[in-house]
Amino acid sequence: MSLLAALTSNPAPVKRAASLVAGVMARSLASAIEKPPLAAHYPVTPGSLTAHLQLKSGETFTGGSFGAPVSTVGETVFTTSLVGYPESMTDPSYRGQLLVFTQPLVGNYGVPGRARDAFGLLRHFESEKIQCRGIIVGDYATKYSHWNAVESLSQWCEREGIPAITGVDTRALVHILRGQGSTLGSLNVGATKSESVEWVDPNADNLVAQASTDTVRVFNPEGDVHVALIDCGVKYNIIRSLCAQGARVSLVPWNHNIVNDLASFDGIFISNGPGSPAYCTETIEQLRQAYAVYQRPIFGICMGNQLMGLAAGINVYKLPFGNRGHNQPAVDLTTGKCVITSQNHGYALDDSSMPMGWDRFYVNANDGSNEGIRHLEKPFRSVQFHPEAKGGPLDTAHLFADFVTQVRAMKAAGVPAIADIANNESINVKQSATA
Amino acid sequence: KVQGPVEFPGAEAAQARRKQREEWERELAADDSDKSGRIVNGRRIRKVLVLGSGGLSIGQAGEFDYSGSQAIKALKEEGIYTVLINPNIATIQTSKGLADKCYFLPVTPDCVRKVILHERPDGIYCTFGGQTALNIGVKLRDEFEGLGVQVLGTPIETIMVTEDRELFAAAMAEINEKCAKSHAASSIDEAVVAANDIGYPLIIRAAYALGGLGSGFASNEEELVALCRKAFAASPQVLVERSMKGWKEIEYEVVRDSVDNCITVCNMENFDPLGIHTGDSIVVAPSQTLSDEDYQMLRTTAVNVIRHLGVVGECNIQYALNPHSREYSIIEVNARLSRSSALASKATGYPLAFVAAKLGLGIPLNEIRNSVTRETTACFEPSLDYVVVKIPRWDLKKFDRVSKNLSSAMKSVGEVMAIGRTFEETMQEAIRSVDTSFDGFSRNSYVAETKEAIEEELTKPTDLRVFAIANAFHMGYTVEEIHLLTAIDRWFLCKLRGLVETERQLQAFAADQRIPRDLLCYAKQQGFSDAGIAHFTKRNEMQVRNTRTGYGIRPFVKQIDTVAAEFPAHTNYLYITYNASEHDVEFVDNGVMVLGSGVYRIGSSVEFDWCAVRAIRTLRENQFKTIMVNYNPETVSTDYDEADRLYFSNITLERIMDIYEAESSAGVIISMGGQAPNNIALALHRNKVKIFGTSPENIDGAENRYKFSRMLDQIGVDQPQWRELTQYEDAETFCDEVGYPVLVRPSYVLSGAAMNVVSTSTDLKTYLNQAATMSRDYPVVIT
Repeated sequence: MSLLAALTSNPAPVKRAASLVAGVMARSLASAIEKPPLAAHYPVTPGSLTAHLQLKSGETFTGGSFGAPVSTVGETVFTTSLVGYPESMTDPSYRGQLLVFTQPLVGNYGVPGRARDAFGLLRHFESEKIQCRGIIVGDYATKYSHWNAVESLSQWCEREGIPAITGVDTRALVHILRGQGSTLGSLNVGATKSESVEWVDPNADNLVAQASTDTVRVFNPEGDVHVALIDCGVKYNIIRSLCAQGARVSLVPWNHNIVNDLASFDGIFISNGPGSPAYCTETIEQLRQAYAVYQRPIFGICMGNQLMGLAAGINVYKLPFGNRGHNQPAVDLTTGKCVITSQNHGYALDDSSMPMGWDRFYVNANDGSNEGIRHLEKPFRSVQFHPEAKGGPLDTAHLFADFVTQVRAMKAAGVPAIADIANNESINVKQSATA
Repeated sequence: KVQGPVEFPGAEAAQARRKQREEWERELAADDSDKSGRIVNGRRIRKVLVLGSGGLSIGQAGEFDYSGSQAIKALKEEGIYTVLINPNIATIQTSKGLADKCYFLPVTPDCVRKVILHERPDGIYCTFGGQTALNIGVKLRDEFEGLGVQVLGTPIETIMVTEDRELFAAAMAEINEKCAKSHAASSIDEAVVAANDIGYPLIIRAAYALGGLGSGFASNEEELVALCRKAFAASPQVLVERSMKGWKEIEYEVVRDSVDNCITVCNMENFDPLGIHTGDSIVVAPSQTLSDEDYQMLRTTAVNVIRHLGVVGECNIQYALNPHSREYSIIEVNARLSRSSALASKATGYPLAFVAAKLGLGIPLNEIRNSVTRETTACFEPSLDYVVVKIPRWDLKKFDRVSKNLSSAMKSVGEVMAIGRTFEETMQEAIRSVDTSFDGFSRNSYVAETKEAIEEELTKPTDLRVFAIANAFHMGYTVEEIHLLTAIDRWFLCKLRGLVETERQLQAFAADQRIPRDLLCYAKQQGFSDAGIAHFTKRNEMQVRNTRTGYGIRPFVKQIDTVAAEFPAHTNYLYITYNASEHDVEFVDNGVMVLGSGVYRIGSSVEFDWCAVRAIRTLRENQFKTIMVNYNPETVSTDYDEADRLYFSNITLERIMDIYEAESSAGVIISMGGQAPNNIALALHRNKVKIFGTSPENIDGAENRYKFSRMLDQIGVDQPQWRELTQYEDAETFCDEVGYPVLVRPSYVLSGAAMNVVSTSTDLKTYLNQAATMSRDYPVVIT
């Protein structure tokens, strides 16, 4: 019998029916709420405990614990980065969150030591401590190997009181998370899952206020230009990058009254930060007032982009699928060039209608969402991605150099920091139009 | 004069195609106001010549069929008329329906010139045909302009810079990048000066000397002087180079377009440290032991280097990275598609050759769509939520007097790739893919368990190094000891060490004891095969399979989507893992499974890829849903747009049964994959898998020497006196009876592998002990 004849003579209807049943069974098995443990019997290391990740939407994932034996609740978010767990975990943008790594093999290169750089910042971390509330990985490496490591990821988590779970089908988890937007999760360590979880939404608190500095701190006091860095939850590499360009950086609290001493700053920089920009009304108001009179450069990153947009009168909306990884393409609309950026955000500026005087700066080449805005006349710009990377590609690190160069040039040219409003009506008109 | 391809009458589709082609040609010739094609550098490109790689050779095999085919697909999508030169009939790219015109001519300057004169193409690609095509580009570079042909993609000048060590070093110096430093010295004093400039440790090589005569390592001036004395005795010149023995070898695949957008598609880390050719190394993607700082440092360098060189399309950059610091050095840049590119394409799902061809037409990267997600742009860097391991396949046994030691010259003839969600799972699957007789990373008889044999193998690696590591662990060697002997990163060794523990735990279960669910589940998650577990616990594969399915332990099917599930993707590129809790896909197709050829070996190569791809295409033309199963990254059949579903998986009884059951497949076609699927035909048949084509019983009748010879006897066909034997003693008696010389043939082998003429009884003994393992399942036939 020829092959084709064999195929056509196959009792297809019967076969198809049988397979449909099998298909349904496979699906119902897969979508059962209780995810089977991958290897519950085999602890991460002898004697270590079982851990459970319960989502508020109902699913439970079981795995092994490799962090502190404590329980916690947080918003469950993911990153598709391939490397950089020490950087991500200390990134204040992840404050209050349970962080899922999609790359299954985590912990391979251990955790580096707490050496400090010339500016007094931790050399290998993005803040003083682990900011996320817990981590979820596919396959934790109990043994690490790197010349720069001093301890394992497990030891670090345990020391800082952060729970961690391994053996989770993180891909299945991401399938759930990406469709739901904000998902609360509970990570608890112990043989059984917790029966009644007290769901506390960390986003109900002002996370920016928690992550921000309390007092004004000065870095690189010898710098020739003075930049105010509004701390909404700053990553150390933003400070490092500005200092490395020769700027004197005054790190100010998120709600610091910068309008009062605008004249003393050669430039203003707004950092990244955790949670929703909606809590930062004070910062937005400060920026709105600054826009009206300030003539020197202002630059924002991530949360800073959203705050600058809000201050300019642009709305913020929730993306259907957040951008979370080190592989996001952004097109610079001023040059047409496409750069690869590091990102972590679920909200974006709605740039479909720009207020007068403002234009789009970068757009995401995948989903067309906003990646930055710029003022058409004044030196005000911001980007949604992270040019400071850590972790992620360094393609856009030049934005720091561009910013400080511009600050320096304007200072040298003697452009006054504050405009004489009486003599500069045009800007005033534009600002009131956006307000 | 060439009249175009010959076609047989009655092929309507072909005739229609030819008609369209002729019409197109007329149009091209007649009308210059025609807006077809694309404008590159101010000139309209409508017709393009693609150079193939010609005959296969070690280091230049199926991957160039894959990249050439992809390029042709991309060009056709842009409406470009493509002409191909490739004399290799076993390739997909020369099949009808791909290139508009194909010349089966040698890829030599003369033939290429003739074809250009005859066809008058507007552009030429030299980067899809390996070194062969590249060399043509270099040789004819001055003539192209006169022939009216524009070189598309990376300029020839750039290629020449990357091929010439001195030009390359100079180019790297311009952007302050570090190459491996090397100085030539013609006296001991000069060598000392050079050494102080470069810094110790050093490797000294005598120039113009054969087989590394007079070379060696020097870690101080004293050793250097001693070495130089020896070297200068043999040669007038020595090369003093920085020794990077034991450094990590890291590769990045980089893509750049004509408007200077530049991305790195994939990075890969060699399991074997520097010293073994990448083609002969076990490679892991993405890199596993690099921190973000290391990763980004090398990525940034790659982007800077590729921009400086002006590559347009795809290229590969290799680094040596000091395992004790952030010091690195650029080893080389390949400004063309290579075997690594094929691997990177399959490892990430990013079609490098396809994209490179489009970039050559001047299309910016961000205007090309990601063909996996279909919605996102190709200007992004794939994120992997799995791990990939590549292992080369050597066929050194088939050559006499060839050194089995691996070094800087490539010896492998093929490679396998495995995908999984843990390193252990992936590594074991890859090992099994290399040869069906391998169980995985477990105690084995390939390397003797003596201190001498193990340490010899670990320090002077051959194709058996990974087996030596397994046996070393079983002998009680520690990770640290093996690391000192091999310089393989401790992370890899620690992971492999864990497998030894599991193997021991399994061995504790005698044949009549039930393996507990948790242990079996854990073993499966670590990548042990049913056959392997059966072997450790002294039972047969089907018993293990039944226990496993009884426990409800089944593998899960996951997608490769290039974005780590960040967005939904329409992808049919699948792999199988036990480290999961749900399937990514639903099974409603009842597709026909076509088994590929597996790894390329001597005697099984691109021809079987051609068979598998043609089978898939024929099935699809007849509206059948298709499922391709193969694990060879160098093939067209593992290109995810060929079949409705592509399983990148091992071809073993266990895996095929798993896929067959999960998919409720209509049936399996095994006849297109050569020997690899043939070997499991009977077992599949016994497990009630529906097999299309020749019945496995009849296959067995032809493959099994005993049955074959018996049949010849039955139908009265004359043949030499023969007997099928399973024991050495019987073999000896028979040989004495018929007299030497005799021919010894095992069953189920490829192109006479392990077949031998034996002339004395001592030879018979050695041969049967070494080459052919006799067993009840696989007897030998002596004639």
